[in-house]
Amino acid sequence: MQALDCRNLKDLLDSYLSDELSVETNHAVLRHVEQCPACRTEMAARRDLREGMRRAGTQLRLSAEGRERLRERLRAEAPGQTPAQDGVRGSAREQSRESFFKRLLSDVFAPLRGNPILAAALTLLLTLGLGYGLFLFRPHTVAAAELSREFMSEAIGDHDYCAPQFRDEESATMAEDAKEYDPAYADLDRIAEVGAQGMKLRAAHVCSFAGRSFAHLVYTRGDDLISLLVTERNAKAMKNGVVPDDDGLAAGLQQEIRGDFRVSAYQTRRHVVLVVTTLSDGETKALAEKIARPVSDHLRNVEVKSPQPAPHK
Amino acid sequence: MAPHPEQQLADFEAQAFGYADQLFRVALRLERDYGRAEDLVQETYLNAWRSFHRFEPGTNLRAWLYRIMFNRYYSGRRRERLQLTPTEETIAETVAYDPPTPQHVTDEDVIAAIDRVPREFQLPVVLADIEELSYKEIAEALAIPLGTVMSRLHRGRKILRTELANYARGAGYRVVD
Repeated sequence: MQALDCRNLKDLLDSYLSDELSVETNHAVLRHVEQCPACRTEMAARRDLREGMRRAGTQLRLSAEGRERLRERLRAEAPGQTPAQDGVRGSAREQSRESFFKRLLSDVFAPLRGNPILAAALTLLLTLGLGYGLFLFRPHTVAAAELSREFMSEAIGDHDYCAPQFRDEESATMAEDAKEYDPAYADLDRIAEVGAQGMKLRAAHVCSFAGRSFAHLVYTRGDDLISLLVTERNAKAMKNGVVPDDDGLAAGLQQEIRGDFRVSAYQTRRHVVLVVTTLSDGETKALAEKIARPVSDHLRNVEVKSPQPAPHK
Repeated sequence: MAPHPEQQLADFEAQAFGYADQLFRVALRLERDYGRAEDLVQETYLNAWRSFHRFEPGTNLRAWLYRIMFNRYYSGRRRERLQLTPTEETIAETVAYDPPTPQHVTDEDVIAAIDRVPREFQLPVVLADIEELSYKEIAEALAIPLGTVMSRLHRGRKILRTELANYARGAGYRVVD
């Protein structure tokens, strides 16, 4: 095995850490690392990352109850076995919540027997907490075209980091190379112009946040910053990880509130058009109607004319 | 004489239950819901038990269980399974740049970065680097060739490092034009 250069080494490092290299290649890696401080550092960093992934990634376990339900379902299935008792067998979904709370309640209340005041106070606290918890995690069905939380975070992140830098620009037109990025991004500034009366366009470009690219129009209205964002509608944007057909449901407006930020989003077959502001819900929605809706209508037309997916750099 | 059914089940449990936690973690990654993930694991074990007589002792039980689980999960999701094939654009994005692996990242950053890796690359990375399956086991589990496992791992790990480097730089913001 001949000596490795740094580039070869970087390509082999992860397989080295996974113990997937031949004995010879293993030695070659070690020989290189011995005399190359930069690769030694990189190896240490990747080893740390691997350990971090394992530490963080393996904390979750199937609960004891989950394990028991699994055992019961198998016993119910196995030939020659007495069927499981009612209430034990069955889908995990029906049971996990109840048994968790039962266990929680018995664990919490066991030490309190004989102290009714403390128990009552704790009951009150627990009820409030539980109510709030149920409110936070209230079940809702994922609509086919619902956008993911991560996706909303990317849009808000882009608005929050990018838009303020252009607050004081005099004016802007869509950068020429935007259409190379995605032909549908050409002319977005002009499409939105009619609805954007009373607002000042401060920037129009393609930028990216956390790996996602956006066509970004930055507007101001008085002291308020408003972002109009257009991005690709891919699996990572969708809550259930699948891009459903643009079924008309997507034509509706999806709204999201995150801290001070308000987001309103329209979807087309290939794009998501968003307005991000720190204004009220109603104002954000109204702005979306005015500037995002014409853009999504425009994109629908463009997409019909060019059915091929957009070229992507 | 064939062993008593009760004994068979006990054998199956003894061999297979040790993988329940890791199957559950990967199920959760697929389903994104505790109850549904638990159901998927239950159904995986039921399917495995029903065909346990076909399982050859000495071959890899863990990879077999994963394979049953992925089959089960993707059986109703033809479209999604198609997306397990990497798209041109995800490939193009990943070849260009390989930043140095950032040091001192938090577990939360690591978790978030893993979640950002597209699923076709994420599953091999999770199976190799978190659940510590061998490359060969991953190939069996996902029913893809060994070479494909290696190239997806290569790209997936690179995407992960790039995402982490973005976090490490702070906001991860850059203007392209």
